[in-house]
Amino acid sequence: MSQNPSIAARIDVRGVSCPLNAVRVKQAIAGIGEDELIEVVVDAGEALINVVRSINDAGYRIFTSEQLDNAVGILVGKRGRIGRKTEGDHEQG
Amino acid sequence: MNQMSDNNLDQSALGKVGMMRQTHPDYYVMRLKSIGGELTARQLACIAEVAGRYGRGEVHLSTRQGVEIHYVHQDDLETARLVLAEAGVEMGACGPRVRGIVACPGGETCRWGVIKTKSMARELDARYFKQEMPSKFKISVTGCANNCTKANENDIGIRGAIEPLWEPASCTDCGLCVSFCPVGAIMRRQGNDGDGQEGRYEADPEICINCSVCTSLCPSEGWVVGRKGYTLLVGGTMGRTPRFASVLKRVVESEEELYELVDRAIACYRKHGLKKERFGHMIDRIGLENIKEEILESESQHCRKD
Repeated sequence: MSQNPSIAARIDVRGVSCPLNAVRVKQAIAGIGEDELIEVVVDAGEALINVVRSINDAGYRIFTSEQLDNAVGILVGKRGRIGRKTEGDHEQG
Repeated sequence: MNQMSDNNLDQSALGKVGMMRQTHPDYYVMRLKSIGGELTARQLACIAEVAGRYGRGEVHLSTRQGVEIHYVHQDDLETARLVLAEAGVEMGACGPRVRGIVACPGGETCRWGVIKTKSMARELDARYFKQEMPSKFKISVTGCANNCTKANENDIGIRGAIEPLWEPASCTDCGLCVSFCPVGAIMRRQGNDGDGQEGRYEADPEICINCSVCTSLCPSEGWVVGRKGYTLLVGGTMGRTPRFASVLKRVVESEEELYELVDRAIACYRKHGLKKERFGHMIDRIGLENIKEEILESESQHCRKD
């Protein structure tokens, strides 16, 4: 990121089951400013996979991650996302 | 159908066309075929009609994505079969032969699907359905490592697979892949090899289950699909003596090679399999390495060894 964006919010969805965890995370991201970051804490395993997928699909960008005790902390921003393939590109050649 | 008692009917011939004797004298189960669990609404309506007219107005859903109509009197079997055939509903298979092909929805529908399972199930059906074998023979196609249609419980299991490739130029060193890899195959190593990267990422091929979580979820395309194809498994069975299938080849890259290997596996089973001996039990008797050698060694030249 070009400037030093501030961490505007923090959301902890440990113990929240899928898909509610992903929904809450997306709502929280929607509430931050374009150049701000949000820290998300989510359980490792399936919950992480679902939340990351949901963040990617919504077009938000994950910048850093940190392994915690049975959980992962990630920093997410609204912008700066690199264009990536969508699921449609998964086709068999 | 003629008025006959059970004893006069050729039970193995009936089994061949998916009709099984019930515990109730003169009553039969009609096992219907679906390919990968696919039936049209019109076919379902016809099945409902036949179940009402010739059965007890109920169906049984089998563990292999098939529909069975129970309580059909032997005198009605032929008529019921013809009515079903008009709607394109074919009979399933019983006995020592290739059973209906099972498949998950796969890449045509599912977000995780790496391969197109439905079209592959239709092709496998055209090639192998009802072929005679030493024992029952089950084939399953599953789109990814999530393994919804349980490739490793089948005599032949085909599972969509990718081999991830790390792209240092795209990687932002966020470390997320180390956390989300479902089997902990991804490691971050310190230091750089002169390419400017501080951390280098590796997926241990011995641990990796070829599932595509890393290539799908990486926020920066630091993981991309290196190779894509099919994991071919042989010799799985549940039943009385369960045995998980063994990997014959980790990543088969073309459909052409896949069918050639399936042909070879079936030829090997027909050559060595004893009557009523499942493929997997034959493999245990002869030895997996011997079987792999026999099936893989004479693979034609255009097929690459894995």
